[in-house]
Amino acid sequence: MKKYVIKRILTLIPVLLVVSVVIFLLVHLAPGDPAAMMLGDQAQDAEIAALRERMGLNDPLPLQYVRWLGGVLRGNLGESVFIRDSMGNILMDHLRPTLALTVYALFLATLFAVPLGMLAAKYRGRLPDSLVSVTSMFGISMPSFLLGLLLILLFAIKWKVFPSSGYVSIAEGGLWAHLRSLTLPAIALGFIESGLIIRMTRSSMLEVLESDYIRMAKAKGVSVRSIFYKHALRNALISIVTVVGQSFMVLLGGATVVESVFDIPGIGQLTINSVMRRDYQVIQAVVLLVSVTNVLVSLAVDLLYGVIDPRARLENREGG
Amino acid sequence: MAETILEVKDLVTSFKTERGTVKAVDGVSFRVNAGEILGLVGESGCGKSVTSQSIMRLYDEKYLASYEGEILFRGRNLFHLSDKEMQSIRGREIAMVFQDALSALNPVFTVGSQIMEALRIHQGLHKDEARARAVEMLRLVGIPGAETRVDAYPHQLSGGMRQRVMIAIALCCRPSLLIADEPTTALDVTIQAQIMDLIVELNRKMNMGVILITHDLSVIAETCQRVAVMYLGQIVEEAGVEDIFDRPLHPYTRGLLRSIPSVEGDKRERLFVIEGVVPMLSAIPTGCRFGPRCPYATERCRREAPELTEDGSGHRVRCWNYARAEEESHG
Amino acid sequence: MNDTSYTARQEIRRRLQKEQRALMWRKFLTNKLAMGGALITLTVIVLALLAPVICPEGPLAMSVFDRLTPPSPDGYLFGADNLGRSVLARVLYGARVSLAIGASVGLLSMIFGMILGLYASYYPALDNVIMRICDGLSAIPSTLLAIALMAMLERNIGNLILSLTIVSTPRVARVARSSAVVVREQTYIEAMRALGTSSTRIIWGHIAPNILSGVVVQSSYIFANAIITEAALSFLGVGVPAPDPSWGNILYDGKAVIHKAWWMIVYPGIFTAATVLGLNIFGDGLRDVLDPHTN
Repeated sequence: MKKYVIKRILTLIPVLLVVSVVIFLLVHLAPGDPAAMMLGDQAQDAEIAALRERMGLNDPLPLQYVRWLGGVLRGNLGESVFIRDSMGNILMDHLRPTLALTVYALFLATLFAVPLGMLAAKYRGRLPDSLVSVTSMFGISMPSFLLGLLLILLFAIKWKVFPSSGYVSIAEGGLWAHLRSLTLPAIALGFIESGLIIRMTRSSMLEVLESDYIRMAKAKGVSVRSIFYKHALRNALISIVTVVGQSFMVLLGGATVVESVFDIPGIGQLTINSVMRRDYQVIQAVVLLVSVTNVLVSLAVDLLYGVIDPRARLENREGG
Repeated sequence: MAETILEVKDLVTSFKTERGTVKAVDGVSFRVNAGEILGLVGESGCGKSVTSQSIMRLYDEKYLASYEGEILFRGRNLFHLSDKEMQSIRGREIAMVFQDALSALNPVFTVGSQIMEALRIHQGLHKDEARARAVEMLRLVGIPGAETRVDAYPHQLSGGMRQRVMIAIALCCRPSLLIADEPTTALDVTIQAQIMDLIVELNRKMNMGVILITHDLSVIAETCQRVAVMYLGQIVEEAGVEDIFDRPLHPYTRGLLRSIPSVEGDKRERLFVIEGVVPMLSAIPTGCRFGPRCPYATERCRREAPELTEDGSGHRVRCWNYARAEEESHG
Repeated sequence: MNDTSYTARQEIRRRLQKEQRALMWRKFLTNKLAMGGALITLTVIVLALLAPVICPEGPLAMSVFDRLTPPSPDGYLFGADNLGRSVLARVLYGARVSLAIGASVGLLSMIFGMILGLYASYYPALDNVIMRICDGLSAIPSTLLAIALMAMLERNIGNLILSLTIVSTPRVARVARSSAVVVREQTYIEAMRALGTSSTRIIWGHIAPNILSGVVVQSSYIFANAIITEAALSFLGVGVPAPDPSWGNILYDGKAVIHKAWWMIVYPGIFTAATVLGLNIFGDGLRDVLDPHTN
């Protein structure tokens, strides 16, 4: 297992390398002088030249990349031209609401989608299956920010059960107010993924139910219920966990847009504000942070897979 | 004469498919006595596996399959039983060994827990008792180190051991009928022989009836008392094992027998192969089903389907011309 | 292998492929799902094309006195926005922009994805490089990468298409590569290599047609996704520049007056969701037709 983990971690290196190059190039391949763009239209040439020198923009690109990467590895993510705080603090402050929203959305989506997917598999080809399929199809086709706006129209403006926007942290208003402020955003964000999780649950349940060991269980005299919930679900869970893990990444990316619908001061809002302010190093840092989180989550999902599927565990052991 | 455990009467199993209903088994009748091994032979696609799974009603009856005829198990018609009653028959009274143990054992549970499951369902054993019995069963089927292997996952065992585990699962509740569906096809030859010996040994010890499904006639010759040959969803010939090897009446059976590679025989002789292929179930020929592939087919064979008839010595055959064909082959 | 039998076999293969295509076409026409999806999408396309006929005043004509007029059958069918522009006109003209962007992204990522996937599958040395780059690009959440790209580039439709294409190409490349690898291993490809057929001919003449169906299905999903992402970017203010209408832009304007004008959210919303739904259903239907195993 240890060797497998190490091997899996080594495969992250090329991915992270590409991610870092892309993120580095983002700023540098943009047309125009980043220094000039940062300082705005009224900047003097001397000011621009000074900033260029300070940012090391006159060096060749590979050198700049190595210097930047070295800085990143030492925890230096650059600085904001707008917010007077360390980059670490800026990111952490904004990451908290985003993570809360993402985890909540994933929780709601899984809670809703896995049972529905199982229901559809159980009543394959009949009314519940069709209803669930239609629901998931709508789910997949509904952009999260649009659903967010519609939810605001209904639940905040018409029925006034949830706030239309704003974020309350646990420290400010306690857990209940915190969850209340995040419920509509989490539904908006999670809905599209729940569509995917429903489909995946349904199809992996159906695939498992066709397998020989299910027939074998039936031949042993195992009850229909137990076949479904014990033998089939346990196997289907292997692929369901993978999808749920992948969903986390999609949700983390999608949170950007939903945050802006509901005015949640998360990473997404930070990004959009930084775009408007041309605060490029913040954008760079945000994209880097989110991508690295992504990569780490996918690593965690892979390792979890090994825990759930004894076959993968064995391969790991053979590998080391 | 030994007690009859199973009697199948005019079994018809049809499947609903996109292109309409297909009869995979069409009017099959046979019986199995206690302590007897009945061989069911035929090429793949002839309905042997469907017959065996129909006996246990394993197919989904809501959307997929429908059954006709009777399956009398100790006099009770299984088709009249409720789901609950059927569950208490499966695994306890009738058990099954599948072809490919790797796919038939659940990959996420230990082999021990898969044996224990049947014991706990049918005999209401507690976990500890069930575990002890599971170890005992593993030992009975000849798995070395049963105490530790009981906690192994299926993929951690070799193919032969997995097959033994399947037999342990099937036999743990001492069923009176065992259906073994190509139990050794996936294994190499030495292991094949060991597994077959194990089945025969347990069959004698427990006095249970066995239906052995195979396409391998040499296995039949060594283990079975009686043989039924199937072709396209029907039995075409049924007789005692010596009888069928000495005096095969149906041209299809003769074809199968001639395609066994013989060890002592002339090695240069080409292996006999039956002409043509098994037709699709959706395109069953009119008249005799074997007609299009039969070297002796006459006009009558193309028009009328023959019935299964007895020749007076308990040897049943479904052929218009078996007498003539027999003469020819001896002459 | 002699030459005449080779060409004869080629001929048979070609005829078989043609028959199979005819069969697929028939299957497609009888597949309710695919047809339903195509119908929804076509309706939106036709409405978008007819925009100048239905709304001759255009999407930019303002009438200050009509600001935030609610929808009514004889006035503004979909109401008027905060600047007194017809929401119907903006939604229909917006459909042109959104569909054009979505279709361009679908098409461009199909082309680039196929090129990358095909060459990656054919040259093992390239394979590692291309696929690692695709892995890296997919590790960055697509919306975020698109936002970041748009932040760096000048805000116009061309750059928007470019950004969305960069984001979606790796997905097509991966699908193209995985099916191309299977085709490449087939005996007739090996035989052609042995006969000295040029790589370009093998890649484009023999492998590409065989992977096309999977790539097309994927592209229809990309089309749908590009519409969503474009709307999201415009909604965030980094997509199609105002005052040009796109569904995302209209929603952006609508968000500011969400308490007063539900119609600025609901109508563009219906069009966006319906188009995406249509494309997704179409993609599913197409997949079922092209690959019966998935069902």
